[in-house]
Amino acid sequence: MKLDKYLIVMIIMMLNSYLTYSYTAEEIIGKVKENLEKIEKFEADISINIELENVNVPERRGKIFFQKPDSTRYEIEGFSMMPKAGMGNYIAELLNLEATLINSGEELINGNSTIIIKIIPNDNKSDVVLSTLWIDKMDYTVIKSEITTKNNGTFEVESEYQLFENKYYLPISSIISFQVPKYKMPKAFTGDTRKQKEDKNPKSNTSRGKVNIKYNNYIIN
Amino acid sequence: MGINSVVKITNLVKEFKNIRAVDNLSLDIEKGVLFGFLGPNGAGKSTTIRIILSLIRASSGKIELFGNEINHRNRAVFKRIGALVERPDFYNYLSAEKNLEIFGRMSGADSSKKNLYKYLDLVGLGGREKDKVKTYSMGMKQRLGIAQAIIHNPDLLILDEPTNGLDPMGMKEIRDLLIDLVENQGKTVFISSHILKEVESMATDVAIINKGRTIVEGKVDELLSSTKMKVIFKFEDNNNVKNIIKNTVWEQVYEESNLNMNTFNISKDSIPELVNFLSEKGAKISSVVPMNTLENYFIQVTGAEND
Amino acid sequence: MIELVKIELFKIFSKWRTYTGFIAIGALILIIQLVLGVEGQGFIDAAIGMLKNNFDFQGDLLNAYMINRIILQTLIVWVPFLITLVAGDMLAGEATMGTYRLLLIRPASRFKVISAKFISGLIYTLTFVMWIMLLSLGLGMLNFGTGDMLVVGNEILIIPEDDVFWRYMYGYAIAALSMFVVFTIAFTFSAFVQNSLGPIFSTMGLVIGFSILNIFSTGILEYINPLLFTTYTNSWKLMFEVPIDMKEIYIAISVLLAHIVVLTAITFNYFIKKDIVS
Repeated sequence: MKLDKYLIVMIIMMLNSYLTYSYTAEEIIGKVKENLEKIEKFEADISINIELENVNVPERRGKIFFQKPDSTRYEIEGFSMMPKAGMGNYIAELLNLEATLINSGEELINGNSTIIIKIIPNDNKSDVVLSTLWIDKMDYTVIKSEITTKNNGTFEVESEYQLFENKYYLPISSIISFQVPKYKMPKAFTGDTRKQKEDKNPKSNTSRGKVNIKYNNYIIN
Repeated sequence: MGINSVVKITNLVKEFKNIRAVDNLSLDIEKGVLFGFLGPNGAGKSTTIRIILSLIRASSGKIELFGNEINHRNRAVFKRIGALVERPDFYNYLSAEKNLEIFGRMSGADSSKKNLYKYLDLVGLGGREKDKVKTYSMGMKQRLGIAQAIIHNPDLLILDEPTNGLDPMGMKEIRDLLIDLVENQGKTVFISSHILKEVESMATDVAIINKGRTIVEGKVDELLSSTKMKVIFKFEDNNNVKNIIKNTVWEQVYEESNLNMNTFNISKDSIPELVNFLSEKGAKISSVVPMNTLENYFIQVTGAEND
Repeated sequence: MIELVKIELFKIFSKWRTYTGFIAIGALILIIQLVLGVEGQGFIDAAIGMLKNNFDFQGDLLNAYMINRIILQTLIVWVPFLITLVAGDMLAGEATMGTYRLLLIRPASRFKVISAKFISGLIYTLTFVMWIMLLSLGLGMLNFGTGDMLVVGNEILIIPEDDVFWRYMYGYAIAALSMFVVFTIAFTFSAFVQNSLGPIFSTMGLVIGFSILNIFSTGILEYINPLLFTTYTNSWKLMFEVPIDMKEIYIAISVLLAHIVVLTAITFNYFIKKDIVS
């Protein structure tokens, strides 16, 4: 009995030491790239839901087509608004930049243990100023990213992944969030003399926008 | 009400603010007559006609048409009435044919082109059917007014100044038409007019009104009979007359009137005899007016009213 | 009654002034369509351009649905003028022409005569609104096609293409109802006077005056505005909200109908009893 107890404790300690083994930032990013490299092409059904203050657009459905290395194409019904940032192959593009990588510790996100890697591009001309990736320690998927750019401000992406065909990690949902200027249209322009909708945060000129994307029916490679 | 009564007016009153335009007027018009409705300006003729036609509501009194009291809800009786009130005003932007069609259809008339043209021809507008009414003269509009009044073959025709604006030939045509309607088609015609000679030449019955009341009413023949006519005597002192004729043969033919008129129903030949008698008795005669024309009636009756 | 309505419609459509409105509105619609066909993208950019920082747009919003909304929004201010031209003349015109004396001596009761006039006037108004719909939406669909609809108001709204047409049908119905009120007001004024200019100017004065009051919503006006018919002239826009506020629509319809009922009752009662002295 005592032996069993000792065995269990040893196994836990070994497991813990394995899990807390300090990979370098480069090694972690390398594992992320490995995951991405596996996928030659895929297509999937997507649905896009936009949540933006004073903007009401319907859910859009369509398809996404990806072809390695960096070709991403969308076919969406009707009029659609596609977020400029956080879509398609943005992680791969980010990881291909010449940058300084910094291991910034760990964090638990949605029950997943993640390693935080900061990426600072070496090229001053790069649009990306600073990126932070929260990488799942188990499968090296990028659960969360926060990217600050010169042209598109700062955006965050939180993604949920699923393993397909036992080797491909692909997102099944992503939430892209960012700051946008608050939409206001003068009454005279609209001819609408009714009361304006209540401003939830009247002191601020910006509001938080969110885009929810769901992926399903993947066809891979 | 007589069996043959087409229009019966009983104690009709109409007040406009402080003006009593019709003051207890009563009339009885029989079927098959051409009735002349006379009176000076402002006598109440037009108001009476408008009340008969429901253009105006009476303040009190009763009007019966074809034996039925007029009812603003039940208007079926108006299918039997055709009328023209004052000026003949039409939709000037439409042709005569279209105007006639509109009013004809509203009265239930046959609005086929054939029938419309027949009536336009009857009133002398043949060849001008398609012309817009705004191009019509007053006389032509008057003719069109007559046409819209008769197109649905009414039993009663009410016409206000029917020959207004017509030349002598036109007047004769309309006169002949109206006489034909009465004599040969059994219609009843009620006309209001200022042209007394016109009325005298075609009316069978007449009423003279003034200040909203009937002053004289009766058959034209009887009123203007030369064998027995009304002769009006005016004296310097009207009150003495009754005493003078008391217990004489002249008392029997004397007609009391509430207009300070001394009326005697005598033949034309008896006038000199009566004049001599009254003069001998000391009556100072200021005028003798035999009522042998409507004009005389009109002037005397309305003049006395205004005294 | 049908016969009387036919006669009244014939009278309305025999006048040149009736066609003034149709021609004027037709020309305006064609001009607006032409301008928007050329400059419409600029309007869209102005409306949603600020989103371009964060979004790429795919698809075309310049279509008949968007253009029709702008047309309706623009014209709804002017349509009352054109309706009063006819409505104000319907009864006053008979007095001016002197035709009451021939019209009201017929077997038809005054109630039937005025009912026929009222119904024919409503038909005219409805025809007018349908004319706008035919040119604006119908011709627009031929020229610009259909697609998702951009609604620019208190918020930017995109309505999916297959969800738009039925909204326009109800929207036009509500627009017609608000124009019925304008017609009824002019018709009422027309009953009381001998000349059509009075009703035309009075009705337009009312439309303009009330519209000005609608801009202010403080003090006593907060209580008065919900009772004014001009408050609901733009109620057709309620059909282009997501979700649709049915309560507001019911209120709009109720107030507009109440105006029509009350004014009609006043007009009929007066007309039936009035003495025709001219």
